[in-house]
Amino acid sequence: MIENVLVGQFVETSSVFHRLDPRSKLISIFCIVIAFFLIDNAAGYLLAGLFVFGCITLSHIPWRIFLKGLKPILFILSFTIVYHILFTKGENLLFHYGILSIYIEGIISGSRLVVRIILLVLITSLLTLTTKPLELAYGFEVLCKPLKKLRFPVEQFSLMLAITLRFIPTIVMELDKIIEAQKARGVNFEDKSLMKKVLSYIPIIVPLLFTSINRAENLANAIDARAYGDGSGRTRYKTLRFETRDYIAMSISLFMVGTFLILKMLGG
Amino acid sequence: MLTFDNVSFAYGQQAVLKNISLQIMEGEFLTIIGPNGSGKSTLSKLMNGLIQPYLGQILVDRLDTQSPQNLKEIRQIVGLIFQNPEDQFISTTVFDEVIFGLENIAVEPDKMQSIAEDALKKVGMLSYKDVEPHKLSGGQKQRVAIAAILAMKPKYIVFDESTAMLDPNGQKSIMTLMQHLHDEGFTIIHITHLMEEALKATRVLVLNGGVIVAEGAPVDVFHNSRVIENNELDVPLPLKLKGRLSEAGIVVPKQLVTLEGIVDYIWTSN
Repeated sequence: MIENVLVGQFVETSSVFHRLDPRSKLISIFCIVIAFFLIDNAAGYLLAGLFVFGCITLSHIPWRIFLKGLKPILFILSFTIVYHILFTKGENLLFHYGILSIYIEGIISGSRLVVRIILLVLITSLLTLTTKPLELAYGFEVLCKPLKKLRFPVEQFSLMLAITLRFIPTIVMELDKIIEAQKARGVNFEDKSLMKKVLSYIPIIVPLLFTSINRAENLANAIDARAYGDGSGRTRYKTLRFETRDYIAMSISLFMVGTFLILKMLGG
Repeated sequence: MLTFDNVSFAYGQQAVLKNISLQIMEGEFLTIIGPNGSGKSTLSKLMNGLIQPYLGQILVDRLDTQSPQNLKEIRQIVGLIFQNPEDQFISTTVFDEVIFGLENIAVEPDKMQSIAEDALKKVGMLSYKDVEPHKLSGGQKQRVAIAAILAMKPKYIVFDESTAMLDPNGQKSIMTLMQHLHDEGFTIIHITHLMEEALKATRVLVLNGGVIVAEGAPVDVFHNSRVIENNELDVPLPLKLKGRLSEAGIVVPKQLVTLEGIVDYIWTSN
């Protein structure tokens, strides 16, 4: 089971995206997501499509990995398109049967939304595929530093994130062990009826919760014993520094926002 | 010097330690033994201020564990190694685990790498620097935990049943490392329920029901049959062997407490 668990989705290649500072990646992606929400005409979609295509090619990560990321949202995509086709009213009737009437506008607005979602998912997976989870957490921590003034516990939050990532494999191994142990005691996990299936997971969840709470207490002691204190006054081994490429990346993203804003105004 | 002055501690209504007075000198190798629930672990947690006594005072090199502003320094001076190797591994790689403590005591970032690598070399884990914890054995994880403490340059290292969850090989390797660290000048405080391990100490302390019931050199404590029986302790194998040998008329000198030592004595004496 442990082999199936991907902690994050990081894929190692030697692309420019991998070398970017996590902070500049976060800022850039944030800008680009805003830019994509501004699209409302064909020229915009074409430009955005070309941009995403270019980025993915530059990342040296195989396309199939990106497409795999689309799989979980297939249901939402098909639901979106069906909903728009069935319920959007327009002027150009394409097909009519009983209470069912399909308009060209419905098809267009549905596919627009679907294309936009696909573009958004592709560009955001570029972030998680090219950045290690811990780097991402650290970038997030540094970016959120100003929130400390509002008493938001930035350091503790980042430690929490790191611990979560650290303990995923441990908990999965534990889960495996518990399942084996319960199977040995005769718990049946193969039952077809939904109710029985749900009930059969109780003997797994309860011990897992129990051991996890125990673990959390031990871990808190270990963190305390190593002089973590309240997380303030620490130094950090890794320091982030913006390079020229980071400024270029952020400029390009800002430029994208501007371009799409202009396209929107021209279109409207 | 680590001093307990009339310390009592209770969880709720239940008294765990009663009027403990104890002095631990620098350079000592002290082993604390006692049955389950005797208060051994509580004692270790009191030593670096994880919990506070409700009566009495604990001084670590004259720093009172009850003043919050002392805690950071106390936790740097007294390193604590816990029982469960998995639950004290905080970071995602071996190297980061050692760095964590250094960051906490605000070591300058450009000095961290060499300090961490030295500590890992000392416990023989440097080649595992970038390995993730779930790929390590229990013994290896305990070594990393020791390296993480060593990097913080402590004076006292407390092992709270740190060998209990390890296989025999892991146990042996941690014991050897402990001995090694003691030779290097660290003060070792070892809490265990394995009597064989207690023989390695310079002083043994027997805890039962929250009070110190016996104290002294290992040989003296284990030769005191009243102490052994009253506290449900197991006599370590080498001492059992000596007892049986003396019944058979072969008297082995008192100071020999290892199996190797006894075997050597038997085949070299006549």
